[in-house]
Amino acid sequence: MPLPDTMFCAQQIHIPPELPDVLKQFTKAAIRTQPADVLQWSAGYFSALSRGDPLPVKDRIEMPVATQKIDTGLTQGLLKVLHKQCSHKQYVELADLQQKWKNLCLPMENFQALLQLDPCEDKIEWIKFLALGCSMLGGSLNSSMKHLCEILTADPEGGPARIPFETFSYVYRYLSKMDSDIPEVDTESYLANLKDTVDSRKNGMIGLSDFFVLNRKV
Amino acid sequence: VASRLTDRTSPVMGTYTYTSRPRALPCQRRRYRDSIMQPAEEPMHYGNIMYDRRVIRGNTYALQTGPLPGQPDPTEVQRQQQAKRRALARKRAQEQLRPRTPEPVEGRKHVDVQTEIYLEEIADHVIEVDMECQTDAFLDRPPTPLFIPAKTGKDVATQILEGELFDFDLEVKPMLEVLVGKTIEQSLLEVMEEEELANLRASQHVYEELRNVELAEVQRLEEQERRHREEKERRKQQQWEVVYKHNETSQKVAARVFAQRYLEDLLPSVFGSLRDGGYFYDPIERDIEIGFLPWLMNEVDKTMEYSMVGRTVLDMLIREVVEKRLSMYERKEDQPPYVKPKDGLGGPGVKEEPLMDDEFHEQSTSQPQRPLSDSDSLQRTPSDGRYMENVSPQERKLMEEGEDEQTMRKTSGRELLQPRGDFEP
Repeated sequence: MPLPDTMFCAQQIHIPPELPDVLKQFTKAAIRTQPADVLQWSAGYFSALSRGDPLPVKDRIEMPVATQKIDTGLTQGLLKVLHKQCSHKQYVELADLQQKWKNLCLPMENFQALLQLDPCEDKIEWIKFLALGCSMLGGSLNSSMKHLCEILTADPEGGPARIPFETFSYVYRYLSKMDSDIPEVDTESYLANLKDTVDSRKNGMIGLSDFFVLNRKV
Repeated sequence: VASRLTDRTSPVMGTYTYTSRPRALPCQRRRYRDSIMQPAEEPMHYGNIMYDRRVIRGNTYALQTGPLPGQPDPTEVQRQQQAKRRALARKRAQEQLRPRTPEPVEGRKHVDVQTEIYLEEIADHVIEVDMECQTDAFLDRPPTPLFIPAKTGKDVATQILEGELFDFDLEVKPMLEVLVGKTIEQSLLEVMEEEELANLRASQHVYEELRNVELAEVQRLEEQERRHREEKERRKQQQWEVVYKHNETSQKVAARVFAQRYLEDLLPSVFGSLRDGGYFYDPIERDIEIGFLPWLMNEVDKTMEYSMVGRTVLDMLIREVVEKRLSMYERKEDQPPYVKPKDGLGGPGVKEEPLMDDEFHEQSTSQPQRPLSDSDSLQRTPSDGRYMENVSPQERKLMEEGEDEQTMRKTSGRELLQPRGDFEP
């Protein structure tokens, strides 16, 4: 409602009833996401909100890791956010992805570095980008697979992070292809072993416990 | 008057007071129409109700039924009624005598007519008109008129320029403060709460995972343990069975050996006793007994029969011959009879008879011939000897043979064949 021409008293200032709610959601998102540049991120947030896209919000609060410029600042949470935003399409435009990357206040150098690992023209397959991001998170192949499982799973947090075996094998093959150290024979045998374990369970899902053994401290 | 006597006013004090003795007030409301005959005012007589004659005192079930003193007697009533009747009759009679208007002429009728200027409808029926009257329904209390006080004071005017009265930024500041502050505070709280809940849930899940893994492990171990135990049980069972079977087998073997040895002698002794008992037969002997001897007997029988038949035939021949001789003798009865050979004939004939009788007893075929033979022999004895001579050597042979035959029943067929040989030619 546009403001009347002359206002006489404070009571005439009309606050729309949705405003407090919107503000609250925004504040909560901001607190959870902890963006480095609030303004940039807010712009991204509201544009996504106006378009009806998934919002660049982390589900769980995660304190920002990047304190210096050397560190990538890419965390599992941020990858999850990106995944939430982009996973509905198989291919994402590079420009779009770049914009989202910026909205999360991640440094552009890292983005370029990621893209250089697997160069492509305009579009990139989202799952591949995710895989590359995971590899950037963790050092080894196993740890990147673990991150991937945790990002992709539908299970509740802390539970057995299960993803379909096809996805797992696809990503595993892709990453091992990227990494020229591991021969292909090994990959295939490893996958075959895992497949036996998975088939016995009859739901086609592979969980963390199958390939990643956490050393428990006694 | 009494009231006035009781009334008194206060003594000279200045205040006004009034008192009066209580008195019975007459009824103020008029119950009946003003009657013409009644006087305007009548002094109210009141008396003590206890002594009022109108009030019945005492029991009411033994009232005097006579006329009350107030009421007239019944005779009086009757007299009054009669008087009334007489008066009525007198009045009627007088009316009749009163002159009236003459009866109307033929074809005319008397009609009452009004002769006044304005006609008036004369009817017995009184015109009645119903009129109603009612007070209005309750009206609402009319609203109170606005109280507009009279105007007091002075009128003064002023003018407000734009922007003087209201500064948006200034006004909005407290609102914004509240809005933003509350929002941030609320959202912080909520985020913290959610965070805590999510952490709890996450740890719950982790714990559940661990528990599941451990449970699986425990189950696996249990399974293993159970399988081991079962295996052990089964092996033991198998061993027991083997041992048992072994025992049984050895027992069986021992029993069999013993039985065999015990019964070793049984078989020969059994066979011996049976053989002694005659249960076993020499097959050749049996064969002879079964096959040969019956045949032999048959043959013997046959031979005997032949001899019998031969004898029978011989007997018939003899009879025929005798009959012929008899007939010849009868023809030759003219000739002297022959006596000598008769005794010899008689002897052998006598001998013959019982022998032949005996023989014929044992043969069924010659039954009817016996009496004949008897008669023949009887006949023979007195008659011919010549004939008998011819026949007698043969007869004697036969007789001898017949004698021997009885003792020779069981002998061989060679002797039997002899007579047959005699007859054959």
